Amino acid sequence: MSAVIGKHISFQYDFHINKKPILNDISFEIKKGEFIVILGANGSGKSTLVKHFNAILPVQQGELSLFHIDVTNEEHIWKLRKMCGMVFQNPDNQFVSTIVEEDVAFGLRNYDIPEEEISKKVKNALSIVEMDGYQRRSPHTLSGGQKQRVAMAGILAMEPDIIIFDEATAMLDPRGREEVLTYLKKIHKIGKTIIMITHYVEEAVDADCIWLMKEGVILKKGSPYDILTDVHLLTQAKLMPPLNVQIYYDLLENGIQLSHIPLTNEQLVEELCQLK
Amino acid sequence: MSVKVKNLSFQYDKGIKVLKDVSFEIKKGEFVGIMGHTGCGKSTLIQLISGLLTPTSGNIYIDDEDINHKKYDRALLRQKVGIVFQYPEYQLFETTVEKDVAFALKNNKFSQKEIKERVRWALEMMGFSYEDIRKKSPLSLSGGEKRRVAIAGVIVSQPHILIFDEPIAGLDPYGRLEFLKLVKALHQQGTTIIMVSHNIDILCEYTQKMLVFHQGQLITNESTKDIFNNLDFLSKYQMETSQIRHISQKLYERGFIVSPYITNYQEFINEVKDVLNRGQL
Repeated sequence: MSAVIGKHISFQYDFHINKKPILNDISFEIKKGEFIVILGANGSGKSTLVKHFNAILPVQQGELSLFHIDVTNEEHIWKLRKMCGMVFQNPDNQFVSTIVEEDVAFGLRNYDIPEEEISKKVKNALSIVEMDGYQRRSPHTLSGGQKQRVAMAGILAMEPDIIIFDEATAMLDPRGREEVLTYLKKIHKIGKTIIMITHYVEEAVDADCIWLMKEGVILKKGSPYDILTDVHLLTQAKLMPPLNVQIYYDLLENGIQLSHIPLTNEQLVEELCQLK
Repeated sequence: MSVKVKNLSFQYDKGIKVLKDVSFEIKKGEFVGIMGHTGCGKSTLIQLISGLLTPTSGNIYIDDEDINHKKYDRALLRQKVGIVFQYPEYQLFETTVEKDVAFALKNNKFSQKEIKERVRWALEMMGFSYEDIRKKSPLSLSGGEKRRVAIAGVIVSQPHILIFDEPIAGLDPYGRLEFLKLVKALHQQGTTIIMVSHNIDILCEYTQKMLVFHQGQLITNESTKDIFNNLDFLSKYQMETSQIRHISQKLYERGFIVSPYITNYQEFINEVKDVLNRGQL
């Protein structure tokens, strides 16, 4: 089943001086339950693209549908926003309440839901990200990783089918990043469709499919191995390959050939030990 | 240009102590990293060093002068210490790049010619062509370009000490690398660099020494290599080491290398080369 279908999407911000489109005739399909990672340099159009999915940005040209619901139809906007949630880069910019449980309930309060049910949904959402026990805490007293988990709970409470992470790990320390990735994977496992934008290529290793974007187009869609080991393509997109891939090529330059290009530390260690 | 901090403590009005009895010294020309979890006091510390906050107790000496002494010339401090805050591009406001970068010089007695020369130097240092960029609106630039313009606006005062607070957050990998090259060039010209960052791989590659904070206390002040090799210490404070060190540890456990103490990329490549070449003899 298709979760998102986009056809010939183009977009341009009015104030953009050189009038170059930010998105240039992009088409794609995302299946239900897929984990998609979008990679691309600053300004390649990643965020602009995903902001179309829940109608934050209007479709200027082309077609876009979520579970066959047309995004351009204003009537569907509330349904769409419920269907597709977004976790942003800076958690501090998305808190609206003084305590955690109020914040998680905020989205639900816009949808005429009985109070009892709201509190059940909030509790459930907090337990998925293992933030039970933090209901009465002020979001501002939490660590970066915990803040993003609360933001994730706020989205989960709406029971969306699709969750977008727009550089949700960019402002976190390594521990916080690990937290977000752990729960992102957990949410994927319970059946949600995940779309993640990131600058950390290492985070893309577990994706079902990676989209590599450059100047408003998708240069290539492919498996983590296909995309992350293609140094030429990554360079073209102004990105760097993961450290393990860099090591592979640096060793090759020094006359040392590993049998496969490693993506993870474990694979690299295995390959090296085989050589000795 | 040295920074000396002696028994420094700080608390916001009646609140908890954000910094507790911190002492250290940074020598001229050093490249120092600052690390610690959110809320450990890093940002407070750099605001104290740059004179934006006043210590609750203790002293800060820059070139052996107490910056909080009544007679200390604060204008001099602003010239000596440059600070690049997180997301500095949000501070851009002028109509042209040239005017924005020149803003800090307005309050000093520089001639028009001198201002122009300094602005040109700062923009070129940040990798721009002066003629191409000077008339553009800062708001029309890409995120990475904006950040470089904002940094040009700090280095234009030619500070001897340059402090960066999470300078690479939000930059793409290529932008990160470009930016770090520029910082390295400034360091090679003799500028003392203090960099707050969560990015351990970058701290490992670039800094010589690290100050590590935990709940307001300076818990260590050693060479970068020593800190990232001390896994017990790091795990005690729930901190990470570099990816290279992780790989080295695994290779050591498998008997591939004789010592796991490698934190830096080039060192790692050399070691692997050595091991494999030796094996072929």
